[in-house]
Amino acid sequence: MTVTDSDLAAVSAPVEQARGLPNACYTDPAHFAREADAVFFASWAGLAFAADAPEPGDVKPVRFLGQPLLLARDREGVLRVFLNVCRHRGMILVEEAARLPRAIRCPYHSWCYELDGRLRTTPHVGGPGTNRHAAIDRAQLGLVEVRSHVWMGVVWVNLDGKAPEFETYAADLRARWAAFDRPLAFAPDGAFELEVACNWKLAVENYCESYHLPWVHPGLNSYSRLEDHYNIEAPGTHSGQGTRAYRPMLAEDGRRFPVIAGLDAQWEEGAEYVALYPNVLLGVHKDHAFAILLCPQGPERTVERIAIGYFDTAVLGEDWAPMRARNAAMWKEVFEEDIFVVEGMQKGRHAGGFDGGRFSPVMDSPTHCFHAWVAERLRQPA
Amino acid sequence: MSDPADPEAAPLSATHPDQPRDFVAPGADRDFAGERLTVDPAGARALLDARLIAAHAAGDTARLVTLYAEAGDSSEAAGDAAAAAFYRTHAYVFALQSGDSRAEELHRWLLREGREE
Repeated sequence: MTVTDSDLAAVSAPVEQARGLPNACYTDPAHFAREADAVFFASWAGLAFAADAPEPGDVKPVRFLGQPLLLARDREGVLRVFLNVCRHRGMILVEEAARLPRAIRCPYHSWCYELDGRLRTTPHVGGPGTNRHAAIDRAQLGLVEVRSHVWMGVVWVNLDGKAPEFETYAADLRARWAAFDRPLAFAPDGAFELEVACNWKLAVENYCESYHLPWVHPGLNSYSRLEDHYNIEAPGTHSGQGTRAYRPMLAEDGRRFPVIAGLDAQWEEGAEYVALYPNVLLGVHKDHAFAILLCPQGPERTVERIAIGYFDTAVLGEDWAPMRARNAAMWKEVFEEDIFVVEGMQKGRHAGGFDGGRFSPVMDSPTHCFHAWVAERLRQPA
Repeated sequence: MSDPADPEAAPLSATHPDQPRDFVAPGADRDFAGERLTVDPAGARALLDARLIAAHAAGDTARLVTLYAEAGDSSEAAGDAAAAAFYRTHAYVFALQSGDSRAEELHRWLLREGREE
């Protein structure tokens, strides 16, 4: 079941000759663990939404590929990610999301940390009633911070600390979407989750290409035909698809969501859907955007967390609630239409004779771009 | 936790707005209603322990701060500096956890005693 360099070389071949990633990449627990290190921890992976800890004092534990992490927003509103473990004996610090008045207290021996990670006190560490000791240097024993960055409402993390700066990693996409690089207002009623019985990569693959749209989402044919779409490929960081025929939703009274003022003509009728590798799927339109976090739960199970945001905070008002609900329902229906596909491909990956499959050089190149990136990550020396 | 330079300063545990109504300040001979108290020291200690256990069970950090501070005051009044430091450490920890303003004063005392940083 081991995935060899030869297998990976076949994936990295030009799209016309390339095979897809082999079955073990979708089914093998050992490979899943290898992928956690090589693909997720070594790059900028989507961990959570900034809205998961919206107010000062908010903490939220997040288990990410086995790693116990903690989102914490300090008194000044700065959001950080830490290892969710005490520097003393490795006890899990926070078990449930909470809004803390001040310090994080370890429930074991009560070492206390400020929300910015500083170790505040170490009770009885020098004996009963003596809370200091020369061997315990608090300046060196704050919570272990994980590199993090917030963009488009998503909290990205780089666990091995070696990836280039997020601004560098995402520079091409940020430049492409400069018109949308502005605050997003996320409504709680625009968030939902889907649990799917598939490897996380299948959700990326399906999202990247427009090839499946007329077959899996036939409702799109009426206004956004296959030929209205185009591929987006940025080897090494992202790929996806765009449409030149985005049609904003109309409210029953004829209103539309407010749009970003002064957009280029491209965005008047266009929208784009991009996977920023490895696990964040983003969509932008002139009136709203969304992010899908793919949270791998195992080689064959993924939780998709979806959040829809608007560029005008007025849309969060009660008068827009029915329209927001319709928009969320529309996207949920689209994403649910994809479930049988990704779960079907997962089942197919148990066919021992399947060689990873072939790509349409015309229609599947964004998916191949993603496969080639994964293969390249796996070929990196540990 | 009175400042020795200020004989009028009240014990920390007796001055905070979170003070429970059934609280009895160490050394006091009257309760809040002005009734004369007849609780003996051992009985008072047992009562305090029972309150602490109840506050722990309820996760009531504000009350834990108050009660541990009270235990610290009692210990100090009895001349047991080590016990005072122990209890005030607990009061300090729960004050930090709950954002209780008494944390600063408790910290200052522990620092003065060479028990904190």
